[in-house]
Amino acid sequence: MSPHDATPAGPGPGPAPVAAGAAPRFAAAVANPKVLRRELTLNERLFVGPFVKALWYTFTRMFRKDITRRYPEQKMEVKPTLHGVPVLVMKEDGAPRCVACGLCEFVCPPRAIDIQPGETDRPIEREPKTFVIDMLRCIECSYCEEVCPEEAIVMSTEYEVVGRRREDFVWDLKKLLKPAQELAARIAWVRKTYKRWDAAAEIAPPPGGVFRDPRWAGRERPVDSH
Amino acid sequence: MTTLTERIVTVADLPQPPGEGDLHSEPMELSMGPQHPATHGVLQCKLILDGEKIVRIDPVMGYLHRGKEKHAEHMTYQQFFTLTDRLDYLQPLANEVGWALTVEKLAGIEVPARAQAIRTIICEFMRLSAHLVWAGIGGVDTGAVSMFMYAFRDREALFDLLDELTGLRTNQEYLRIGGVGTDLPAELIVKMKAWIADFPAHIDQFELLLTGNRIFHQRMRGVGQISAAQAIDLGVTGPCLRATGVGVDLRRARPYLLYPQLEFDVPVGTRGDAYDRYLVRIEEMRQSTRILKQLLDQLPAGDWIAKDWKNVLPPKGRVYTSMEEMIHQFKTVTDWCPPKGEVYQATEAANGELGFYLLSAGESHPYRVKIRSPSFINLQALKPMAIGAWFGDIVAIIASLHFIMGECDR
Repeated sequence: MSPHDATPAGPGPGPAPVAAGAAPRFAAAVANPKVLRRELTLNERLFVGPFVKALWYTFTRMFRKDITRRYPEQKMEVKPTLHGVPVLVMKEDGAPRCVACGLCEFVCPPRAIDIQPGETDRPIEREPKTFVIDMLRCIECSYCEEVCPEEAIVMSTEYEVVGRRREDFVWDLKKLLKPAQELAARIAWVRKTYKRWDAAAEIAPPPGGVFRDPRWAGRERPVDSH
Repeated sequence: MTTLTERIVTVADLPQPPGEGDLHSEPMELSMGPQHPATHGVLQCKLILDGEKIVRIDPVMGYLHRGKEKHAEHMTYQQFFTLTDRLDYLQPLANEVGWALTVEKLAGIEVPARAQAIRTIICEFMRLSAHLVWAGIGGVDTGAVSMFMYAFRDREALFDLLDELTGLRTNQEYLRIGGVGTDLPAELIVKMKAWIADFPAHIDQFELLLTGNRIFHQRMRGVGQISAAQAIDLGVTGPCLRATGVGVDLRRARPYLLYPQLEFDVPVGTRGDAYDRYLVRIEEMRQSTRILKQLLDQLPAGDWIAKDWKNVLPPKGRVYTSMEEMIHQFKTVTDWCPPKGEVYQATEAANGELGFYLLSAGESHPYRVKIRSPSFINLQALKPMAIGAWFGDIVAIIASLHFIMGECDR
């Protein structure tokens, strides 16, 4: 039996008196129920009854199902909403989808990303020469994923990042690139979530993962010959 | 109140010890913290004791100062959410809501009803989370070590829910200007309802362990008492103010989000001692579950982020295929500028009035941000509460005030 059972459930009994000095700064006084302060009963003052009761409560917990997990043998259930460390999506030809626009580098609050852009001979000319994420700085906020205009950087499900030296945490392209199949669940989540209010903007990207304006179909810039 | 500004007190400044035959002893200086487990983070208390009585107390703050207000001047408005998370780290999302409301007030962005409802829900979950930690740590401070386990059991289950919603356990970075990061899925609403259905029984269990406990009574009753007038003079807000009998709650006094439409009581205490602060917080947990029940039962449908092409990132599908939305995306991320002006927006966080004062020069970075952190101001009440108390009471006083040094030092 809780002592607060005596607290009135609805609005309190009439307008409560406002203490002197409180009124001018705030809006109208509202009904506030007082919390019940009670003296200890004889049983409680003798202490043995409540003591045994509380111990009994703790004792019964021993036969309940464990709420803890035996990590690392038992891992947590990985959901597509989970923010692991950010990784780069690989196209089928092994190149990154990233076009080195630098938007994730700009938005990253702890400045964990460093990109050096470069040019290639492929139809999509730009690519990152180096793409480095310092996982010691990364706070896994997913801002990079949200702003990326190419679906090139997504949050993975990897949350155990360990190493012996600081350099182990500075991931370069070799470590960051992951095949799109591995990240399918998260990419599906990104497409579902970030279409926002625009239910009509369902998009089916081509299998290669390259997004193109349909109006420009067939008019891509030819491969540079120089 | 003039003594509040004095910082450095030496033994020589104190009244000389009485003569022979008196039980008074020589005043003794004692430094408590910043590593003391009962100082809740990195607070140092310089105490001057006369035997077991506290004669002077000087809290030393700033060990966790990270210069967040200055950092804000070099970050975009969206990026600053990541720092507000780390103010009061027991309720990261409530801080984010405070900052989002401030920026939206300045920029005049209308937030859809569903986004507002989700924000209200996470605000109340954060209040529960903060109060649960307070119950657990407060229990440990007063000798009820098993309270810690039970409180953290519930908090962990609560964090599992938020993990599923936001993708991160703490410091979620969930809010966006104009709405929230993702929608609240229907299956998660079912899980949240199940958690809320169980929770009032758990509060009863907490009370079984604490409210009727004689040791707890002896530690908390009549300890750290301040009057309503004193609390108002010091600027104390939140449960610490309401425990003195002043029923001021910003959710009622200056309503924001969906609070005007919700039915809840604002519990007040009568005497303003540590025990009243305990009772008020326990009752606030019950009221929070009541608010959450109402919200989850009638969550409005609709958008979870404003349909505002100038202020919110465009739909991703269009960014992939259309040049105009691509430009929108780049401009919104790199060069989103609210109008010139200044605003102040306060929200009722778990510890009291959390206010953001924002001065904008019309640039993509704030010109100045001032954070009115409730912990910092509530901490000022430590002095009138502790002077004259027994040395052992200081732990109960600090536990019942429940300031968070991450927010206090900013």
